[in-house]
Amino acid sequence: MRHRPENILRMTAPLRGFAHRFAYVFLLAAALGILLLGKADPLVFQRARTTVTDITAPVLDALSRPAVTVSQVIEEARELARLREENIVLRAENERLLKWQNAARTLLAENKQLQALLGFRPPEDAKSVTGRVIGDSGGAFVRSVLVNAGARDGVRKGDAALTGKGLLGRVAEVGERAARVLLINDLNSRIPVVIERSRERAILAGDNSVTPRLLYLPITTTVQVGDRVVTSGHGGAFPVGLPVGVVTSISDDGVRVLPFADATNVEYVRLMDFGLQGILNVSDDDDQPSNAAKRQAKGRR
Amino acid sequence: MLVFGNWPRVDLALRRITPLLLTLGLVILSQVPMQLPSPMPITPGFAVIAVYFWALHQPDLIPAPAVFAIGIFQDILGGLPIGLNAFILLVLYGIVVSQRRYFFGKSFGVLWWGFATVAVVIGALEWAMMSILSATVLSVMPIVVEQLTTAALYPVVAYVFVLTHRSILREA
Repeated sequence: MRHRPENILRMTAPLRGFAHRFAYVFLLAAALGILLLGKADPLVFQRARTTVTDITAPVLDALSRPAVTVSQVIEEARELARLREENIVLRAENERLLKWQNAARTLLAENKQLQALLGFRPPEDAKSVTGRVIGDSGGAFVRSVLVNAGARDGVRKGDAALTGKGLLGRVAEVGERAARVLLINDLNSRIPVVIERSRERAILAGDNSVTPRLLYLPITTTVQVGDRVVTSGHGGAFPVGLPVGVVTSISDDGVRVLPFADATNVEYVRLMDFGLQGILNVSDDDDQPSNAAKRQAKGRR
Repeated sequence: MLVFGNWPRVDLALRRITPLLLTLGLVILSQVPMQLPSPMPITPGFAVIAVYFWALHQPDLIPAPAVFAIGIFQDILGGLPIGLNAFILLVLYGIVVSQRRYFFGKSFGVLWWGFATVAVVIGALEWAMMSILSATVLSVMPIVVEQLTTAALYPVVAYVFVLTHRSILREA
């Protein structure tokens, strides 16, 4: 990414006057400098990010409503056309789910009795805030969404973001009235998970594709296509057992997981605070980045 | 038209700042979740269209500092590394301003073709920079889709800008 200054000057020759040319080259250098500075220390521009996001949040909030309405109308028309066959599928599914409900009730009762026997202390209930998605990620190379709930609603950095189906991501930035959720398929997302069936631990690493990859599986792994993947709770970022996705392919390319939460079509997100003070969950104090925050910044690099 | 006080000057200033405000508005608009049934999010690069258009037709309405500001705004709003779009849009600005003479008096088709070409170049640049920043070779598919979408949307956005440009010229 090195540029010979004379090249740039030749390129911008028609920019009249030395001042113009100087301003142009200066701004170009400034952009590059900011980019590298931000890369070296991601927390430098935290304040600028949250401020701008907070200011734009109400506008995005208002704009996203008609967009949602339009997509709902399209979706409804489509559903109307498929009503009959969908009804049949749903009936079958309902029957199956009723059986599961029965099983779950039995297990719940059994679990309670066993917990009472062991003197098990259940974890505290999680606090949750529901927010609407008001902004998509900014292009081809990031997977994140903006949610219209922020610090004033009790959202904290590191909160788990869930849809009805499963884990969507985690809160990476919190403003006063908006928060940015880093999706699990983003390039920078690393989530400790466990294969539900075999209890093998792994890290779910996003690579901006629809299906993130499982890293660091044991060599002797017995992972199969169709295995469910849930959070493992390691690192203290998420509680154990949040549904994440299902293994869809095993090849030289690695083990790929299709997340339960469909990131391309998410409207509401539940931001859950499990009260965990893990490595990812730092109090973000913009003025005096705590030691934990510094540690986190280092860890992310 | 009734003229009183400083109004004409204020009016002119407002008109001159319209391209910038319009572009910032489009950047916000590109963030609105469209809930499209596509495997990847598609964010049309309205800012790329805006910088291309104004650099070609009247660069003094969007000077380099404004391009820089648009880029930073887009980076912050989209959760991108800050400075990425600022750099890319400035490169685009430099290329287009230096090639203005070639495009002078050409038909709309040629301008559109020119935009598609430039979109490929800066798409490749963005891909390369993101790959270097993340120290991995990223998939090119998302950026290809994004640039295609942007190129396809060029006539629509350009039409809005043409109307804006005319209204500015009329008053200036």
